[in-house]
Amino acid sequence: MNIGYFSVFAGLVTAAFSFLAFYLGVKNKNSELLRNAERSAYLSALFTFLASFILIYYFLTDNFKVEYVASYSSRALPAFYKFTAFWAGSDGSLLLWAAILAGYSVAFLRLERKDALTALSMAGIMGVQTFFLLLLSTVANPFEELDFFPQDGLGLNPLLQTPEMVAHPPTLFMGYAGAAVVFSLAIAGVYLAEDRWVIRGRKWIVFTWIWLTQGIFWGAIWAYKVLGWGGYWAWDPVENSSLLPWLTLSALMHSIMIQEARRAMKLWNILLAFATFEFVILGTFITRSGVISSVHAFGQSGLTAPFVSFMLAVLVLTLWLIYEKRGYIKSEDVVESPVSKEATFLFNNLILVASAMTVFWGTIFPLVSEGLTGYKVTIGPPFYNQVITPLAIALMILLGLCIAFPWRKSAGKDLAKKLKVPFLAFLIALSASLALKLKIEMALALAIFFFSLTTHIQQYIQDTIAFSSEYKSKSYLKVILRRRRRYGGYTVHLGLLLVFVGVAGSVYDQTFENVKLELNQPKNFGEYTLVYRGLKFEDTPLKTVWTAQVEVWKGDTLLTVLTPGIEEYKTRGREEIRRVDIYSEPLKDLYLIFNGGGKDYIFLEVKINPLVNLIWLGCWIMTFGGIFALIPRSLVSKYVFSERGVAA
Amino acid sequence: MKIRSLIFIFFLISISSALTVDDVEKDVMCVCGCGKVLENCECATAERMRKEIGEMIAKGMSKEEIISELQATYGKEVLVNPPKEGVFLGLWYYPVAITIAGVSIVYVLLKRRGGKWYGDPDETINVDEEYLER
Repeated sequence: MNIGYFSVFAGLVTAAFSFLAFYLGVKNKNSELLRNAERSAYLSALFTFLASFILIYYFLTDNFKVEYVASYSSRALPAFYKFTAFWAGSDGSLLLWAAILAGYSVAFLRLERKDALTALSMAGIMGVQTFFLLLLSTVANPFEELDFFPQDGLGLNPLLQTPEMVAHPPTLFMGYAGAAVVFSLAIAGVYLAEDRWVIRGRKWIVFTWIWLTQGIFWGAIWAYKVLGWGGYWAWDPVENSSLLPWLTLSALMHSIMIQEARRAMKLWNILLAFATFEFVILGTFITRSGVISSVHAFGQSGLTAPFVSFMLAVLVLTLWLIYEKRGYIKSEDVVESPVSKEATFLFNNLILVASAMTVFWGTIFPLVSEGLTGYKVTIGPPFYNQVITPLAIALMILLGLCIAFPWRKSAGKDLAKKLKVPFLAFLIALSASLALKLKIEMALALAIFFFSLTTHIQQYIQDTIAFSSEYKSKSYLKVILRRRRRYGGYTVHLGLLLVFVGVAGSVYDQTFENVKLELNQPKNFGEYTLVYRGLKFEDTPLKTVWTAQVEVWKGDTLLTVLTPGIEEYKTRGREEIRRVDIYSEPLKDLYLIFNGGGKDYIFLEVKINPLVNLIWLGCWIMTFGGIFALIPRSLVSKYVFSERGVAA
Repeated sequence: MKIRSLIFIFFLISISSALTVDDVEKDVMCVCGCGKVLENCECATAERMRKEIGEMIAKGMSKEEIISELQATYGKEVLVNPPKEGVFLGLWYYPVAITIAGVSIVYVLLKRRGGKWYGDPDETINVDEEYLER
């Protein structure tokens, strides 16, 4: 037996034991069983890590006897990409999923108090782990060996040989596996009829959300810089499946605050945790099964039955628990007044969940149409652009409004006063944009951006002054650290606003042209002048590369030399890809795609993508906001509080 | 004079709305199996399809006629979005139905009001979990 496979199998046995022992230990209040369950969970994590290291070792040592290694690596592949080829295919990426979840299980055991809620949550986590290890030891075994030892492997898909693709799967899976922890906590909380799960769940929800954000960011930047079509989001089923859990988790991040403050929305929060987890499993399934055609899918049909069964089992378990614990789930009222932060949270949840349900519908509609009419239709960007745009606009306006609303209740008069300046900012931005002859859509997007930005800046200042006075503290830093949940949230909002305006800019203001550049003949494109200076040729054991040398001038200033290229890989059927090159200015990108040519001329697709950098900046600001909100009490308590629980 | 002006305006409109391959390729899929919209695909199949579209434009066919012709050749899978008819109407009605249902639920929740308050969520994160869990 292959030692890697043995590790997976041992991980499976220990995970399954741990799952049962945690459940039975809580049910029968058997502490000895719980201790064994914990030991078994650690052991399962150890075996899963070991299996991962063995697979990496096989890649680094070119062990092509292992079919998975032979399929995704080659001798000429640089060592760094041999390491990342670990998650290039379906089986390896499932092992990565399991390894990350194993990491979460260890962290959960170390960080949480040893009680029934933790134990039952661990049962959920180990149940999910058992499912993945079962797949890895049956239909998705990455240690399957060939009957012969090939001279060389097929090589790694060239599109995956980029730093962005190194970051995308691990970050996304950190979010995916985190959703399993959040769901496990939620069902454990319902089973035990305890509200404590939302208090404990907060950090896991925010942590998971940060990673989902990062995963989406790296996926988008990869599409932009590597796929070479000039965009970052194509509403592809696999892209959608990473957005779905982000939307529902963002809704949950807000609605658990209502459960904390008012013991309301209990059922809703369970449903959001459930939906997030189901979307995560669906995303894993869509990417690996190829059930919906996608440029990103691996395509492995043997996974359909286990994934569908698992999703159904999760659905049945959740519905059964909701029915059994309906007495506990009965919530108290959500709002005291419609003019309150709670009310805006209801609308925020409505928009986020309606967006998720719409994207979900568009994603699975090809399957629905196949069932009803016998053929699979395609749902392209126009559908999503048409239905998501109004929801996104509503969300951005709400973002500006919600921050002006206090908890519990507010007087309409105070609110109108607060919104005066932002409304003025809206009008100025709209007028200025129209005066600059921007498209009406772009002008509206900028006006909404400035409206919401102004409410945020205003609220930052007002809150900080008010809280300083309330806490009798002159240190604004102390105030911000004490209210880090709120200020972290504000920062996330600012990041999201930048993403919004960046998307609007790149959608409504993009210009492009297919041009033929003659050698040494300048050609104007917008404010830039492009000059083709010749073709470079490079031949390595891995690939043949043709690189066009294009000078970019603005007036009399040479800005840069861009080198878009075409690479032909010698493995995987001589696959050919285009390497785009980008000249970035703070507010726009000059984006060149090399479409072929010769010594004396080349064909280029030239695009100017305005504001696209704001999307990347916005994603980092969102991440920073999430991390700020996550700062543990233990880290700041000495600075913020003079003594435990007492304000400074 | 009026007729001349009308002809001139018509001529201008015709120029400004002259059909190009770009106009059509954003509404059809590449049929190579990549799952990309034609405008985003650079494979040989995509080039062939663009050439076909270009030839149809040269024949004076309208966008609808070209899409219909492509559909007849490659099947309905070639459409970026299904037609707004029959069972496919469900695709377009669903988001509206979901939003209406959501707004109704929010309306009901806003009507039911209660004053119970267990603590500011900003502050709960500063209190010991053990204390909160009591």
